[in-house]
Formats: sequence, C-alpha cells, structure tokens
Amino acid sequence: MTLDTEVIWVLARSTGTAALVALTLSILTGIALRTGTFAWLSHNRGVRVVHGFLTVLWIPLSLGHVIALLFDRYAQIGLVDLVIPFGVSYGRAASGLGTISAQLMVVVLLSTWLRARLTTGQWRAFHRLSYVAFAAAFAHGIMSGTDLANPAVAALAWAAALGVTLVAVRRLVVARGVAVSAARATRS
Amino acid sequence: MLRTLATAITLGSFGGMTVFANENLYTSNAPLQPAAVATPTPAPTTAPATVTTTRTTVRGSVTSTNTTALTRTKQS
Repeated sequence: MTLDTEVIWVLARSTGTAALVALTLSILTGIALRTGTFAWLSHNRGVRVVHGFLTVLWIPLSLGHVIALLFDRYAQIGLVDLVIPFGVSYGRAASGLGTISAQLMVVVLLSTWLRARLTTGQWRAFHRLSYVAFAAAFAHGIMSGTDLANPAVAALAWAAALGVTLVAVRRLVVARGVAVSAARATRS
Repeated sequence: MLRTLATAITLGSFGGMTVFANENLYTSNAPLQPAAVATPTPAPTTAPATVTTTRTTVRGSVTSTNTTALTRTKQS
C-alpha cells in the first residue's frame, strides 16, 4: 500500500476527531454566552471572541476531513455525496449524517455572515441548527469512528456529548427561569 | 487565555489523534481499512506434496484414410 493512502487515512481520522472537538468548544462557548457558564474563566466578551475564533479551527479541520475522505479510495465518497446524503454504499447512515452535519454548519455559517440582513428571530432560528449539526456530527463519529475501542478516544467523544448536553440543559433551565420571572413581573 | 486554551485543546487533540492513528493504522474494528493490507492472504494449510505438469499436444491436422465410409441408417 502506498504512503499516500496511509497519510490520507490518518488525516481523515485526526481531522475528524479534532473537528468534533473544535465544534464542541464552539457550541459550548456559544451556549455559555447566554448562561455565563465560563464566567469563572473569562468575561462574556472574551467568550464571544473565542466563539468566533473557533470557526478558524473547526472550518479547516472539517474541510480537511471531507477532502481526505474524498481522496480515500476505500471510503469511495464523491462530490455528489457532499450534496446528496445517504448515497454512499459503505456506512450509508453514518456518512449521510456527516453530510447533513456539514450542510447544516454551512447554513449556520452563511446565516452568521449575513446576520445584518436577517432579523434577530431569523438569525436565531438558523443559529439553533448548530445543535442539530452537532448531534449529527456526534452520531456520525460514533457510528463510523474507527478508534472508539481506545478508551481515550471514546472518553473524548462522550465527554463532548456530555458537556454540550449539560450546558444546553443549563441554558434551558436559565431560559425557563427568565421566562417565569418575566411572567411574575407582568402579573404584579 | 480562553482562546489559547481552546486552540491548545483542539490542536492537542489533532496532534494526539494523528500520532495515535499513525501508530494504529489498521485497527481490527476499522471498517474503512484497506482489505488488502488489513487481512493478509492466509497461507495454505497443506502444501501439495508434488507438482505434476501435464502437457497435452494437440495435433494440428487430421489423418486421412482410404477406407470407405460406412453410414448406418435407422432401420424402420
């Protein structure tokens, strides 16, 4: 087997894992903007800067993952599969979820770049798609990941999911508390 | 500080995973592993004791004969 094939195989795995980590951090910092979860680390402005900065990390890593798989002749993923999910013969569901995740993140990115042209409600609706994108990316990693037998890799993946879940639940609780307080204020 | 931490975590996972993947190129549970490399061709369990080569020579022409040909028809 040629060296190129091995390099592509290694890159596909490492960029995929690192992209999931960067995406996790991006989601965590995004949620923390509303809940103050990372207030013990930095003020809200700092968290916002990091949230924006993380796109510099997860976009190239995600692109690297996709490009590596495009060149991987064992994955047999074509350009069409980046547009139409669930068309890959191998790992149809897992690959399809990866495609959906990538497409949703493109939508989120576009909505962020076009934020000035959108209403707050529209932008928020588009931005919330990142939760679905993360869930799809996580499922994609769990279903097609080849290194989950390793405890460290498995711990990393499940820690990412647990972290996002906990922070998201906290945000829901905070949002509910705010809503209840607003309702009481209206009544009194 | 938070940006440095996020970069360190991401690039650390990238570097760590690259080293790990390089050391474990073809894990047994890797569904995308190249079959040709991952599963080496099994050696035959019993080797043949002797190898016999048989050569058959096909004659290129048909021998002629002067004998009258006999044609047997079905008796009704």
